[in-house]
Amino acid sequence: MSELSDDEADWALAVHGGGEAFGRVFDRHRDRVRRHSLRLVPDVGDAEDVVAVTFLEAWRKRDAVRFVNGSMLPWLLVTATNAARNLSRAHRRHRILLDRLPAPVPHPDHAESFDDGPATAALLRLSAADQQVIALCVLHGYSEAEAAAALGVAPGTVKSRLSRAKSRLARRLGENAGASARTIRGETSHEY
Amino acid sequence: MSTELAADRDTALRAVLVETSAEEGRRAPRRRRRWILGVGAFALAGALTGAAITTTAIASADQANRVFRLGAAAEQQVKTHGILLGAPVVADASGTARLVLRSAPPGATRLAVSLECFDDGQAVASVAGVSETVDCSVDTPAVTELSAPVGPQQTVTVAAAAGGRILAWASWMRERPVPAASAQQNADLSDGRVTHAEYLAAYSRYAGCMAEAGYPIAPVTGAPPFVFYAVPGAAVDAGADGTCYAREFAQVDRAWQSTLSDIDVACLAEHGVDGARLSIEQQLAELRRLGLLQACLPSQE
Repeated sequence: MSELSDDEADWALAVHGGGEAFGRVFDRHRDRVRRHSLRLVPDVGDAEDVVAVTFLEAWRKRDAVRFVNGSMLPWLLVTATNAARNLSRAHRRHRILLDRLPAPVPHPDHAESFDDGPATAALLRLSAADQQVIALCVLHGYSEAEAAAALGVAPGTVKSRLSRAKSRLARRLGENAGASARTIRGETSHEY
Repeated sequence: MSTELAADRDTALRAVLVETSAEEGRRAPRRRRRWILGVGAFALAGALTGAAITTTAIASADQANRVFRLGAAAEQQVKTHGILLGAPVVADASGTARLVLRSAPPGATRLAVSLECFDDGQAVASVAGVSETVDCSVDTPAVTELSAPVGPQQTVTVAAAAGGRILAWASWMRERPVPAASAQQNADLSDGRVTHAEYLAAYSRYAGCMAEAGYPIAPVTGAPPFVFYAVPGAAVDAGADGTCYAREFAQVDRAWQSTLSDIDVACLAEHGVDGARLSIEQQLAELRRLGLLQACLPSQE
């Protein structure tokens, strides 16, 4: 038997009532989830809601959380991607808890946001499946095997899905802004 | 958002998450499992179809889907330890729903209630003076079980605290008899204490029983002093998991958790922390926070 990672151990504790353990998972991953959310929704306040919904969804689906090399982050990023696609529904589901939080306010300075312009606009027009593989493999630099583990599909599925998603993204970029489109900024430093 | 406001929101969100998890620890102890694998599509008994449902006429496709989902959620929960019996009843109401179940089928022992609230909040399900409070929201059915005298007729009342529309489903059910503990499990318990070695051995017998039944347990990871394991959903559906767990592991598992809790409390007390009122998971979290996990917990006893 192998030792559990910090995420695995904390999640096992949290699921059985170790509240602080959930707090540690939040501390560990909130910044990455927030930066990811800022790419997916245009409003900073909405991005804050995506962050909250992501962790509340993690609790709601606590028995289905997947770990990739011991990290919960890839699963959280997929969950955030899904939450951002249908924020109003997710917000409604967790309304009681979200209402207990201080209201997010619009950010006057967009310097902290991750506005990738046409590239982000093109990303947001992709299907959920395409967004998930682009988010994991392109934006966050996970391997196809790691993305497959996070999504619960075969590596070959990710490979073909990623290839098609990249093609569609390129077409969308062309439709959006022609040659002026920038490359989507990625993050490759994994925080396990 | 200013840095200060963002920090306030993070602090508040963290507190909500911690409280949400801690609330789980204040409920009845759960089996120490990380997840159930393979729970997916399952066949629904004929009793779950619209044709057998009484009380409320199905008025729309949306309502039919919701009713189907309520029945499916109840089926999924109950099948781990019992079976649904007879025709369910459904009520779609505002504020309070009343469901009248007639003629309990032979073998019925209690009621399963599944509900969906269109305004999130708590709901109270009551029958014959017995009540259960559940968190209730739209799209995600909440399921609870109620003990009720078996008679010719029972009325279940479900009241939504928020007062909005509530869709409720109820059915008689029968609990599966719990198998007796094996001789070895009884021997482990005979001296009034369970050691870590006995706990691990009992887990191995449980795993062996599951393998013999055709449901090997995998993957298994260990974080002394516990074993974390996953169970195929099909094993739960077939009842093999319930049988093997009761026969080989259930009482030893509970006794080890109780023993461990005593050790935790004593160890925390030595370091000035009152852990008596914490759940065992909270005690472990506290030990982990203090860096005492390995020092305090027996691993080879």
